[in-house]
Amino acid sequence: MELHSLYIEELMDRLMSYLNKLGVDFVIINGYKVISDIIRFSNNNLDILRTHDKSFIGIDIGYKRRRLYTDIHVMEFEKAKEAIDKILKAVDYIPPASMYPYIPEDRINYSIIPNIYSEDISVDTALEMVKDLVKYGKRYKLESVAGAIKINRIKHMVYTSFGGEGEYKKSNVNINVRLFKKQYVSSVFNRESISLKDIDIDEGFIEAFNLIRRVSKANKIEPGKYNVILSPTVVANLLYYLSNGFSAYNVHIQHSPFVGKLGEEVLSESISIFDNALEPNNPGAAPFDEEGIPTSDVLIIENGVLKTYLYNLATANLYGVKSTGHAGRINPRPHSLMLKPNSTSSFGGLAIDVKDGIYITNVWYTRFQNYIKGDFSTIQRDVALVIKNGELTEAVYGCRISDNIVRMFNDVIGFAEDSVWVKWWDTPIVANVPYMAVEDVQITTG
Amino acid sequence: MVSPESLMRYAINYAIEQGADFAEIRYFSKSEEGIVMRNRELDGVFNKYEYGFSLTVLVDGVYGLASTNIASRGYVEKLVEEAVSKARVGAGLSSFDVDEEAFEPVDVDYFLEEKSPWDYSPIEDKVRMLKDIDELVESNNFRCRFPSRLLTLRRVLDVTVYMNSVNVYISSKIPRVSVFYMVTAKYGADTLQKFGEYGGSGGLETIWNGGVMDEFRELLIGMDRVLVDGVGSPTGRLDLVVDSEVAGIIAHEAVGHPFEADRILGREFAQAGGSYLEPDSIGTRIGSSMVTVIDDPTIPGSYGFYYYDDEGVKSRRRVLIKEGVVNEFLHNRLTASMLNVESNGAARAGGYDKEPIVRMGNTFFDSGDYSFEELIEDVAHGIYVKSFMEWNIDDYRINQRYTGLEAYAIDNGEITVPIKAPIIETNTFELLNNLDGVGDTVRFYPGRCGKGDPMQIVPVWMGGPPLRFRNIRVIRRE
Repeated sequence: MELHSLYIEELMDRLMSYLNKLGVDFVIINGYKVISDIIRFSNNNLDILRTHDKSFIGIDIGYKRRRLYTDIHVMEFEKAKEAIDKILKAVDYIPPASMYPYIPEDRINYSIIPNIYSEDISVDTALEMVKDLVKYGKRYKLESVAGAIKINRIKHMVYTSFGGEGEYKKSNVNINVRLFKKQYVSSVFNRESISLKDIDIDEGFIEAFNLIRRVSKANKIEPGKYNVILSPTVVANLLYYLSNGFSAYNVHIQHSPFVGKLGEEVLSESISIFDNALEPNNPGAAPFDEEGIPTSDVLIIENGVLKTYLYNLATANLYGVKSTGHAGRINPRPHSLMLKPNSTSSFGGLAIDVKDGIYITNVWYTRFQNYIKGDFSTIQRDVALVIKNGELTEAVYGCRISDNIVRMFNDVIGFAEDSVWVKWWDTPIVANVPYMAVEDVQITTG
Repeated sequence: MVSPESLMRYAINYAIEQGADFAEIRYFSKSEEGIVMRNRELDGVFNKYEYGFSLTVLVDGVYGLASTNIASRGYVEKLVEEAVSKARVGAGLSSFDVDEEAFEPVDVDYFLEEKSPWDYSPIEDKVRMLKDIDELVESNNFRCRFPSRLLTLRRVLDVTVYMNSVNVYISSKIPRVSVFYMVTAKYGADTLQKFGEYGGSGGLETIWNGGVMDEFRELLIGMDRVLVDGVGSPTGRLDLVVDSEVAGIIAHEAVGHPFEADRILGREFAQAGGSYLEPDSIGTRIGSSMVTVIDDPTIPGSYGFYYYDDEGVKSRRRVLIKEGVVNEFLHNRLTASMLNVESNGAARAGGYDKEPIVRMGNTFFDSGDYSFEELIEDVAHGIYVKSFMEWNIDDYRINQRYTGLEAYAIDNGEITVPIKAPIIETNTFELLNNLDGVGDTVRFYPGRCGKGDPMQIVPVWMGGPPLRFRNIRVIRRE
């Protein structure tokens, strides 16, 4: 084995020129340089500090109506050429793709998005946050404060054979912290941001700690139908799974509850959902997608009505529309999800509207029985509190939401507080969401 | 032009020079190739090549990790300096140690043979294989339709080299082949969906000799039966017989994960969660004497196969539960040292840019001596669940749910009508204590297990023989 390295920009240039000479229908090259720092801690102690420095390239080739994809995490021209040559050989032996991109003819211009890169992302600052969290954990006699702070600096470049050429830099900070008092008495705080200064660790700790401050034990939930308040962490998780149904590819393969529903009221009229990848301070912001198509402020749901699916070039061609800038190879996907309610109240006001029910702060293992119907379940991960007469009271454990995701986004009681940006381990698309209350949610337990 | 080995050796020496008390470096190379077929149309052909280095140093009790895929001496120096400086930034916040005397000198190369090599099979043959599988939807006069099928044939070739500052060198080459499927069946307005995977380590023989055609045909027949003839599931406390696919997911979720020592020690609390076990749970009875659960990465041809883990420790068969009693946890070097035992080689990293954490390999209920008929004949009123769809489990691996896909009622010792979506909603202790019959034939199913932050995906097998549980709560959707 021999290794040789060159820098990504040089490699992208050489590959584009090599592919253009071969006479392909189109080519799209995405290049990424990512530098990441990760701090992990648990049991009120630091576990690990880690840094990554990596570069990689994704190449999409259309050749004689065949779709070919190569990912190169090896910064060597010969190795990349070898991968391309190998995959191009397939062309004579495979049938044409039935779903094939249209080639954009308009001049491509990309926006410059302000405030998506910050210099305020030092590991030293993050480590001070961890030290504060550990200090608070000990001060408040928590058995464990555990979590991770992840900092990414990303440069994304795109070259296309149809005139798109651009690059942008962005930074992301992700923090996910859990406070552990005893079994079934824990709470969570998670946020996604452009910079560390936007995350108030003291406020985050207090917010999470207040949930379990007076809780010494949790009782097992009785199965039944409950009105529930879902925290932004839960809403972001459910919204991510709901958004899979917006993909035109998933609609085409019938893995969506929204097949044939364009223009129909599919969710509560109090809900609008956007993906504005051009919004400053949006951790999911990007001026272009992975096909080099400019992004825009896309209104997916307006007052409950499904306005558009999410398209890449191939699915747009299939449906006779323009790409919405959501590639995703094969399967389109959102850059970010923003749930905008018609109105919000305070958390206390929402609890009064709910009157009796459960406040669920965190879930995981969201799994579907059927993507067409939207039947799913997801299970409580941190504390859940009973709401009695509009007040939070005792803690319960064992809650499994066992319901239908479309119904839940229809039978909404209301929303509360300003939206926050959430992303974590089990919610891979960043979402800007408030608290949401839902009527008559089926809760089961094991 | 330099070899990975010479860069790695240079990095180890440079790390020690920079003040590291211990250093280890891994080279990971992953080559992936595949074909995506949707309803017999090709959505694309793909390949992916990556390699990189991951370095771990221990400096004054603090671990620092750094990784890169830029292979040059200058970058490797930067890698070492980053890892050492990261560890120094955290000075005083931890006090870990590595017992260097626990390392025997090792110099090993191993390579898993492909009997039917992927590279010798032309792409048109692979397209034909997928078409053959897909054409099964038409071959049995099904009453339902299968309007959506997505099939992905994939080969992943992992090449790794490990070395550390204590004279350990290991290199390995493991190819894995699999077919991932997503199928929708439709009858009238009703639909049924299933996704899953067939595969193992080796060449194309892993799926072809492994009977992918038979398995897929069996799946389609089962979906047709349930969708067309299925009736509402009985509910209440019932006897439950599950087949190998369901046994496998129970072994993985309710036993394998909670036996990972990093969870037991709280180190995964903010990511993959906790466990119902405590560090002193060894020797505790948690199930009936029929329960023996094993994790064994050394099974030839298995999807979760490896001989040495990503910390250079030789792996072995681990008996997690022996006849109902907690026998051993899964360990990496760190958790083993924290609990004063030796690592049993469960450290796996999902790539060059990931840290090795405690993972399963192939987790399964051990076989018993019941035939399938014997398991069924002693059930007066119950259900048989052959495969599953939706499932989940809580943070402590106690409260869990499995929704049956292909399932049947059992009445007076006989399998009778197909039933729709029975939901087994139970907990680990009830399940393990109510196990009273274990079948004699173990079957495995591949999976991709996610853990860590950032998420690390590693290939695993899950399996077991058919199992009989008494008096388990079954519900259904209203």
